[in-house]
Amino acid sequence: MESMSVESMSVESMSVESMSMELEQSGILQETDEFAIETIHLSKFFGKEKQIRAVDNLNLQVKKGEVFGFVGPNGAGKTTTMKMLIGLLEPSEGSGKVAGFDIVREVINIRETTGVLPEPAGFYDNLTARQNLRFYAKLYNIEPGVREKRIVNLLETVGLTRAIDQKTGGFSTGMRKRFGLAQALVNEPSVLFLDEPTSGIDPLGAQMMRDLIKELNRSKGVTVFLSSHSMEEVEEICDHIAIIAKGKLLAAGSVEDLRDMIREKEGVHYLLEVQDIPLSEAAEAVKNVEGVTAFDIRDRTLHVSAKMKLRTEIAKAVKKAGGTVSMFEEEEMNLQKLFLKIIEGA
Amino acid sequence: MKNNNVFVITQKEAADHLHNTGFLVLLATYTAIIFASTYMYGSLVHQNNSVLLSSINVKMISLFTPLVSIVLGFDAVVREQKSGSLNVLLTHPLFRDNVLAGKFLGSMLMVAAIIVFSVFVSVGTLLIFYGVEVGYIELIRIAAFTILTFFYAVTFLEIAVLISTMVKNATDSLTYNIVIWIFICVLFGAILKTVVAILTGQTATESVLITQLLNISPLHHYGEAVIGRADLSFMGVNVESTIGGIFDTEYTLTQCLVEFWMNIVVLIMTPIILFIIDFIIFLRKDITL
Amino acid sequence: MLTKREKFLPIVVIILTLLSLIPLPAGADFAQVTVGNDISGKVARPGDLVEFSLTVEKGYNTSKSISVLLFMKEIPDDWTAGIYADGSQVSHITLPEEAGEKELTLKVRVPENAKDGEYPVSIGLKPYGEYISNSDTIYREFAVTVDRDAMPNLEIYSDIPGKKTHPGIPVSFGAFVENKYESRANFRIFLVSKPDQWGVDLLSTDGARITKLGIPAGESQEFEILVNPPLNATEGDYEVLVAACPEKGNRSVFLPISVSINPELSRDEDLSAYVELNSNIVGFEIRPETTAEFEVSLKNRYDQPLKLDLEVLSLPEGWRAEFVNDDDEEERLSSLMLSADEELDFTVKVKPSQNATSGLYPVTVAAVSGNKIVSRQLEVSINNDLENEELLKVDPNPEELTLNPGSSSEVRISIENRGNDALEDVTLEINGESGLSTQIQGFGTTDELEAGESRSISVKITANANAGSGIKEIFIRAKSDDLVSSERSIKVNVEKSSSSGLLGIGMLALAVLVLVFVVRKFGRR
Repeated sequence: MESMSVESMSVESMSVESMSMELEQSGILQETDEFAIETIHLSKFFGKEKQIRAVDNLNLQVKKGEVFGFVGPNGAGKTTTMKMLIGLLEPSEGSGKVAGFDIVREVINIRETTGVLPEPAGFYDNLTARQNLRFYAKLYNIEPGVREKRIVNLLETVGLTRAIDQKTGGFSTGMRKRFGLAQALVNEPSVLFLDEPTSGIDPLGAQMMRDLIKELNRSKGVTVFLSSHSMEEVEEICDHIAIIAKGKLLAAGSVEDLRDMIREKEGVHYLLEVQDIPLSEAAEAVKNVEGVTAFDIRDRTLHVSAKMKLRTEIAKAVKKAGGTVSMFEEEEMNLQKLFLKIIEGA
Repeated sequence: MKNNNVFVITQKEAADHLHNTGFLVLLATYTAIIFASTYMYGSLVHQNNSVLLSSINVKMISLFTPLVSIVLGFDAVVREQKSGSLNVLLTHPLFRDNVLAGKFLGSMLMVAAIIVFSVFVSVGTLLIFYGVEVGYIELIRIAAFTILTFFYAVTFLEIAVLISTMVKNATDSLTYNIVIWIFICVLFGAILKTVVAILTGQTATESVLITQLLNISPLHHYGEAVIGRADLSFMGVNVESTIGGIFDTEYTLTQCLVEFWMNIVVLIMTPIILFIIDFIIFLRKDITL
Repeated sequence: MLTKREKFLPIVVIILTLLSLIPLPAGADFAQVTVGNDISGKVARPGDLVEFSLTVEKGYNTSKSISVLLFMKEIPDDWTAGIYADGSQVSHITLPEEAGEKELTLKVRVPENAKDGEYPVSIGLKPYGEYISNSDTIYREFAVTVDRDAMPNLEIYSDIPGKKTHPGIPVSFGAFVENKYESRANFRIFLVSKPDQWGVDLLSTDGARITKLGIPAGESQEFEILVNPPLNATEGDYEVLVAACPEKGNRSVFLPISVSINPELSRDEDLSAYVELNSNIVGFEIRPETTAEFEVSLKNRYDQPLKLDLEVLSLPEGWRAEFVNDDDEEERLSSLMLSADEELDFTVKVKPSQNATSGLYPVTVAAVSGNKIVSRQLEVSINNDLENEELLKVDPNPEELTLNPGSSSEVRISIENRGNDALEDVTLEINGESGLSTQIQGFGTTDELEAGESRSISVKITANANAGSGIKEIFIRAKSDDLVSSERSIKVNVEKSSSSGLLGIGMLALAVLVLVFVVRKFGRR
């Protein structure tokens, strides 16, 4: 059954024509084993006439063992996507696989091998942390001895050893998030879905959470699929990032890939400080360099925009004009800015 | 695996009820009501039938049993949903129907425990106090009565859970449930009479129309099957059947079953139908992740 | 003896002649009163009362009223005598103007110890009054001759002084008392002795019981001695002694009557060969107010039709017996024709006298054809101790029962009309005790209960669930118009069922077990 579905998936995948360039370049669509999560044309429409396109033609590939950031503003379709991936929602179109299981037909298998920290996440506040975890663990038919040990370990992992016999109703938001993480890990999942793992917590707590995720990923090799509206967070812990807005995937790839993409789209910005000649002269010289699209003089610094990397050419042009470049910096494209730009563009 | 998970939910639901102080108060209150009404009733009635059976105050039980169900079921789904625990729960390997079935089973178990406990305690205490001679016939009838009461209670449990699936918060659920309870258990007969009287001008309670309309009330089926009375609500329709329900020891249980099979089937089927409706609604419901 | 008589007789005659001659001339002209008497001498035995009658007459020409003083002139020692007018002793009499004469009686009591011989008794009569100017005392002398060998002055006898009868069948003797006195006399008739338990009645010819008979001089009077031997009389000869004596005297004359008892009944019932007179029930014990009804059958075994008269041969005094047709209660039977081999059932109703005392009373009924008879003895035992209310009787069955609280049991209560009349609207009244409830199955009221009819009513008794244990009583009685039966009680022992108590404890334990099970199985989290 499983192989069948994989086969059919492959066939279906092959017939798909429009794919994002990045995925096409990777060229390994058929090697499903490599991916922990994979979606093809995954779409979810709401409304009577399907006019609300919550998720629109989403193609994603998450490699095993990586931390995957799914970034987008609120209402971009992150949660809907996650719901479809864990079988809580049936896709309107397209298909997907998580840990090798079909997201429509093998939901239970997916649930058994994944851990999810949903947002919002509620627990049974009348139960203690241990009782809560015990309940969840029972759903996996874990042998009681193993289960009890694992509960203690998990709570230790997330730093809630002290609160093990406290009712979760009394937990702070940060504790709840960490407890939610423990809850998601109760079945020792290979894939971890974290929906907004740091939302609503203080910066210290958020950092603690991020460290936890990184540690989990590193020590246990868990594939993490996390959604966030904070690019900084994603940038910090994720190997790969997908940006989604209004249901559409806007960009995907590693942090570096995304930066390259930005450069291509937005060009390169340089900051120069020139001595021996006035800045205006230097500007005149740079202006003539082919590929430079704009310049500006602010705060005794020359801002140059170019289509591509023109560091050498610009330096040569300044020297030729008799100036000495005392500072030459390439302006770093912040991912958050990039994210915002992308979203604005969309 | 799937069944096991239903059981896990069942167990959790049951445990939640059992650890709830409210539940213990409910159990004590309900048992006290049944016992007191039975004791008082028993000293009043002297029917041809068994004193033990006729001393069971079915009207009182029919009035209070739904409250037990409502208390147990009114926040079953809405509480989980509101707290977000349903979100978390559903990420684990079980389906929505498992959750619903588990919750039902758990609450049904509690309903059964409460009813069995109350009936046993009441009948047992009565036996000690009165020294009434009982035969196995009466014990069988009491068992049958317990089962029917259970189904009657489960009907209201289903209604309660159904409402808790549909509404936004527990308070609304409780309100709607109480309204339904008052409608069915307290006012139905009177309302029915009034409406039929207004619409048709007939005031006779034996009107076929009334008899037919009564069929939509689980109280009617319960009352008819247990003591052969068409309506137990206040100032309701006063129609009695020849056989006084399963409490009529002048007829064999088989005869009673033949006579009241429709009522019994309805009593059993109603919860099942309600469960299916509930299940469908629950499945179609968008649970915000 | 004769010599003495002969010796005195002429003297007496002479004296009497002289005496009679003396007043005649005296009264011939102007005597105010004359005294006449027929007999002036009598023979008597010691202890006898001798009476002489005399008549006092006014003189022929006297129309005024005259009073006469009467006195004893001469009387032997120890003798007593007196002059009586209209039954009472008198010392003087008045002859009114219009009345001409007055009858007087001289009574002389002969003492028991008087020796044989002649004794003179003389009386004096002295007229007085306003019209009497000169009067002479008139003396009259009587003679009483005492002779111990003289015959008594009464006789009692029977033509058939011995008869044979059967136990319980009365036998009647005709008897006569003869007055040998010269005057009318009263005689006491009394029973001297009879066998134990026998009934003896002395009856006049018209059936009244008698104690005295008044008989004119020289005549005899018939009476009847009815002897009723008891049912248990054994074979043998029995004597009944009846005596008569003069009312004033104390000398009795005895009449022995002999009754032979032959216990074998059918000996002389010569009709029994042809006719059967049978009754299944021959004895009833009843109160005097009630009526015993014997179902009797009469069968003609003769090959010819027989006319049979129904008779009551013996019946205690004041009782009534009737032959009632079974088909029509109003019809009284007196005689009937029975064709060959025909059998007829009828009822003999025996109504005792209201004040009959307790005891066994035989009633003999018979069918008579010509002079042949077949009889049947029926017994009615009167028992005044039977309660009066028992005309209407209730009888619960059972009278005691044991119930567990909540359980019920049926008691059959029979209501019986033991009276002679049909009772209407007979209602069963039940008085329960708290903790018990009763329910009359069907109707508690019976429209009509015929005499002798009984009706059974079922009553369900339920011990209430909360009935305390112990013995409780339910009182029942039947009531009709103004007749109320005596109250009967049904004892109900309310016993708490220990088995149900155990069951109750078991159920409590089970309830706790259920709870414990549920908590242990589902309570952990």
